[in-house]
Amino acid sequence: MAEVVVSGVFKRFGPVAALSEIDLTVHDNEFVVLVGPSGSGKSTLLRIVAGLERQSEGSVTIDGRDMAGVAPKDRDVAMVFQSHALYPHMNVFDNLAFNQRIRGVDRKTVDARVREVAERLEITELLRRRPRQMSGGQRQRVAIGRALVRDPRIFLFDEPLSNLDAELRVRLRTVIKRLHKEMRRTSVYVTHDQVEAMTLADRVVVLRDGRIEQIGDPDTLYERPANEFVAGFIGSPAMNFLQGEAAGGVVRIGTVETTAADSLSGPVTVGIRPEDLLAEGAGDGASIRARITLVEPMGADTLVFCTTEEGQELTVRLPRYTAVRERETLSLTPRPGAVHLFDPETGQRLN
Amino acid sequence: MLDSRYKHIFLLPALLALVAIIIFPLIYTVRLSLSGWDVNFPELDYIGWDNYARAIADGRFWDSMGTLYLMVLFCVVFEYLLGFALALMLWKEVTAGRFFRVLFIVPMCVTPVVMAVVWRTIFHETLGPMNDVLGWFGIPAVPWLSKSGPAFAAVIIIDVWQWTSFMFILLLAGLMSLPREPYEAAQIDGAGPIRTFVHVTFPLMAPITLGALIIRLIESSKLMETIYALTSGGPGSSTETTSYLLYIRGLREFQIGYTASLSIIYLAIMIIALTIFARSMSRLMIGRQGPVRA
Repeated sequence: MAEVVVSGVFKRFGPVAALSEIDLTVHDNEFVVLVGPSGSGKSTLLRIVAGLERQSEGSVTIDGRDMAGVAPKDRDVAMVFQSHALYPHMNVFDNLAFNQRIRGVDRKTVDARVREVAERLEITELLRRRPRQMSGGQRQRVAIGRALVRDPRIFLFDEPLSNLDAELRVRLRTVIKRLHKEMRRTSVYVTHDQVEAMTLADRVVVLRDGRIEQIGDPDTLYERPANEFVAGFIGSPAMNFLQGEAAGGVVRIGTVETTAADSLSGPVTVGIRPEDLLAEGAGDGASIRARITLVEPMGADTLVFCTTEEGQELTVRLPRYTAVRERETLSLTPRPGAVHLFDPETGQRLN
Repeated sequence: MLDSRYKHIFLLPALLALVAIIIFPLIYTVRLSLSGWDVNFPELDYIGWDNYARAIADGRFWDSMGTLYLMVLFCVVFEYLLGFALALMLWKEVTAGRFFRVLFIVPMCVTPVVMAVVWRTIFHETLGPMNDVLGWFGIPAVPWLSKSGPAFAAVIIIDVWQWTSFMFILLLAGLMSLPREPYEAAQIDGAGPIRTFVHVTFPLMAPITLGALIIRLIESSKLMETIYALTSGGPGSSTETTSYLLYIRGLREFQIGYTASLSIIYLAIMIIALTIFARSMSRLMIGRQGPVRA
């Protein structure tokens, strides 16, 4: 059992508010990912949970116990850092065993535990190596191992994969996901990479400028983003935003119409994901016409960048076998029911 | 190749400077050491290895070497310990930390000879303030400059006073450049301040420490001005370092040929000693270097 409750947390660095009004409950065994652009306060929030940073206001409780004044070592948390933060002069074995030795665990138990973790992470042959003698990926495996050996109530990850190259990042991501499936420990994971967030999380917390923009499972975040920021941040390539006009239960985007709530009227921002723009509906003339400026074949599908007659940039994800060429004109229609409407002023979702 | 010829032309001025400053004097010294050049016969004759044979039998030379090493050892160890302690104290934000940082640098900026003269006054047996201060605590007057033990200590005190700040600056700069994350990892692991120092600060500082120690070893083994102004190597030859002896033999007694041979021996020993030291220290502090990967 380990439930983390963050309530009413503010963090100020002088006059700068790094976090404002953070309320978040991480349930037992849940994998929560904090995601946001740099400076959004996600690492600060994690460090407050770890006890490395003290909140200016509000409280953090773990399993109902208030953590005010509780040192990081007494919170039973383990943390994996971006820069691995291994002890440089110790070999892998000693790095893994360090915490257990400090805590006075007997030699045999430590030995067995280290070997078990090493096996699980496939780093047994590295046990005698020092950090400097390993590659970045190996070091980060060891850093994850150091957290595992402790068998803590809560795992904290502070951008653990950000320093690795793309291929390794994907590999270690699956390692982390598999470990979580096996061990089922409460985990909080910070990243700026929304793909990491989507693939790992049970629930994603999107932060911007120290505020929570939305909390939800990956599907909800993708299908029903609460506001324009989340809509633009989650998903790659990013969602397209177009100007629309709502009146009498219909939203008009150029010559295209989609249904909307009757109460809606006036200008709206229309969000359409690249894969929800369909190129086939050219028949009836009611379409968004856009000239192709660039084609990026991705293998599984093709990304098409184009410009509408109004000069708006659009990204369209087309199936692999669509024959398109640059300077051609596409007739696009949004997939019915996949249109997101936002208030152009507040950015809040309207449908 | 045309471009390779250009390369050599561009390198030439630097090479010439190098030859003029280092290579020529070195070779000339070697040649001198094989001659009997002195006050009476200022000529570059050839007397074979006689100077070297004489040097090897010269007890005063080897004694000066012993004095030097002992002095350097004390100086560098004290400077390192004090400098590191000060750096650790001023590392974390301290009130007026900036002021202290500047203050500690002052001794380094003073000319050694000037300072030695000032210190000679301070250490004066009857007139100097040092013995006054000691007197307040009931410590009898110390014959600072007229007894070998205290004179030896006086030289070390001055060197430590003057050069601790150098260690301090290097080590403080090192401390301030250390990454934050290993400390946080140690904090979460539950390591206390001593364990954190032993397992995080000290090992992370090892390369910087090693560099600082070697620089100071090289510098302090040239110890000469302080001794010249403070004790003139005395009383007796108790504070006579090798470079001071070389000065006496060469520039006071004008035994140029013989002094050249002493210099060559001294140089060879220094190079060997420092190499061994650097190797063994880096092995001790940083560990056997395996293949390093990014």
